[in-house]
Amino acid sequence: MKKILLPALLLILLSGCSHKGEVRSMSFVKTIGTDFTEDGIQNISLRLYDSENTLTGNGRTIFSAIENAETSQEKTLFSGHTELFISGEGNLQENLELLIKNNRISPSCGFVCTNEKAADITSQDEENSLSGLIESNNRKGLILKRNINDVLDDMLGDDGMAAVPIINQQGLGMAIIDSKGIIGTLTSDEAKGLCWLNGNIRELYIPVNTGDGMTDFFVSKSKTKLTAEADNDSINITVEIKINGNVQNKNHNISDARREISDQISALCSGAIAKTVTVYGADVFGLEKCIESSGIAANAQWKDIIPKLKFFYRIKVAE
Amino acid sequence: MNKISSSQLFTLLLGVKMFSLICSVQSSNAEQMAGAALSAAFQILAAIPMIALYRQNKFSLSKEILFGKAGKLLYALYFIIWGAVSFGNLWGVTKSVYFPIDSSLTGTVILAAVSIYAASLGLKSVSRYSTVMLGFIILSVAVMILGAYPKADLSNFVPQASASGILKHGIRDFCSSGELVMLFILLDSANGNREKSTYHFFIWKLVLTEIICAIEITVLGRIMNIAEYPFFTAGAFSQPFSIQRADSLYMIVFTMLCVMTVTLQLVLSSSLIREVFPELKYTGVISAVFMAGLSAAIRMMSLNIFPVMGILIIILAVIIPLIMFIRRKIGNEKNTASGIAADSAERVQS
Repeated sequence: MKKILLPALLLILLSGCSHKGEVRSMSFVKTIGTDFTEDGIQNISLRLYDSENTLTGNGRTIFSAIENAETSQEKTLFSGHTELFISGEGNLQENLELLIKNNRISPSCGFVCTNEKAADITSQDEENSLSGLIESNNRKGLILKRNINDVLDDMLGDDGMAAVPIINQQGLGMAIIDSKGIIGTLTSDEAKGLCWLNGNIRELYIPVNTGDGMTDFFVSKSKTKLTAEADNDSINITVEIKINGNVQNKNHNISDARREISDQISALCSGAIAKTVTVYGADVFGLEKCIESSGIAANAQWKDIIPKLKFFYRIKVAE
Repeated sequence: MNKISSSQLFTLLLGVKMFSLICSVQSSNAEQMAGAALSAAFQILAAIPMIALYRQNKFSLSKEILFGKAGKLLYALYFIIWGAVSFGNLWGVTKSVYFPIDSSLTGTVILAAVSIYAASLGLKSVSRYSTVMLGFIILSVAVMILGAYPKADLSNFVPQASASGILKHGIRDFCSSGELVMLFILLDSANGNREKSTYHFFIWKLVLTEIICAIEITVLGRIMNIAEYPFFTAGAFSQPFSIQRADSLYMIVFTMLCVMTVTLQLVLSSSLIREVFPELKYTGVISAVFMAGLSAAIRMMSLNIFPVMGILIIILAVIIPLIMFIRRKIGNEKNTASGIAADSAERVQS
């Protein structure tokens, strides 16, 4: 009897009969928008799955603001499936560190910043498709899709900056941010260059002029590899992009198409490097890590490395 | 104690090591990976006297343990301290990582209750449980590798390691490798090819450590420095779907391994205490109370227990087995010598 009593007791205690959470009594957060006020208060706006309404709340920290928003309705908020985090300008890094440490929101949650009110973007109907929009733009090599982990990883570098998607009245683009806010935005060509530098662009049509006229070059897949080499006082960075694809019109000269593709991509990459590295002094495509893993310039400061950098492009096109 | 098979010895030890790896708060890097290899090599060397001792004819640990009852109590004390560390790990993880329980205290009490019950069933039940856990460990590591593969960035790995750094990480790894002491005690209960299981354990523990380090480094990058429990952060990030929480799998594995580890400490400590005080009842409950109390004390006083653990591991898993081996070897030689002398004396008399 004693032997049965204890397991029976444990079964009751451990089967989750107490303090259970029914799915119908929970609301699942899809998007979080956060705006910072000058007095350090965060205004939060939450879009839920299967709901047209937006919940709002405020607090000193992001989680206190979410709790505050929870009190505006009867259900328990669950943020474990949050798809997108829209951040206004403010203590970006502090928020991201809190999100990573707290573990309630997946580090894979997408990140986008805005120089407008995040609450407006969250509440707009268009917001429903924002994740999809970022996804499709990323697929086509127009912008880089970033998640909380990527952004924080970039920010924790010596430069303290990261490249993130930005959403505003002009639409979707790319911006360079630091721990406090947006430093600057990239043009569409610079954003494209950044996508090539970060690699893995696939299923993309690029118009090329081969001399026989215009045609499309279809990129089935691509891979980017950065290598760093010390050369006296300078550091040579070779950007090697391997592209698999073909010319859509077989009558066009393939060599011309390859040369054209190579020139186009090199120009896009150099434009992105000029803006991000030279103008903003940002490392947003893993330069510092590449240099570190090559064992060059150990313990050197990023700002001391920048003037030493020389870039070379090697674009390999294969069918 | 019940008898276990040599493969169960392997699964028990690997499960306990996996629990330490999950609960590790150390950031992984090239030095740690090299340090783990160094520590594993040293542990294999340290295990040689133990294995040699168990190879000796009619060796029985309970009868020949150094310092007799005091020695047994020392081992029991070690398992209680380690159990307290395991409780502390449970406490720490439930506080830092989002865990769907009401309070860490409730979690600890429930875990203690489950472990006391499981310990009352003996070593055989824990060892059977450990074989099931091996399946869970393989599944969780496989899911982690699958999820990590597309997100892994090899440039996060910086192959810079200094000799002092490797040594420091090697010592740290050794101090968290309490399985060595456990191995010494469990070898007494194991049947079959014990040597093979022991060496397999050291090899697979190193493989597991290196795999988890590699995942943490390549997936987390600089995030690792701010992640309190890198395994859980890597688990949360390296999952096949962008918004799905496959990390619940790691929480289940963590909880089950915690139960297994604490139960094993309880089984070992209570059986050793029972050997010293045969009349004493409820040794499992007493051990659990000591473990929980010590865990609370360590936490409240913010004590760094690892140097103590390291010293105890060296004493209990290296020095004592070595002394016992030398003592037995000398004893055998003396017996052989006196046997030969008696034999020749008999011949002279005849």
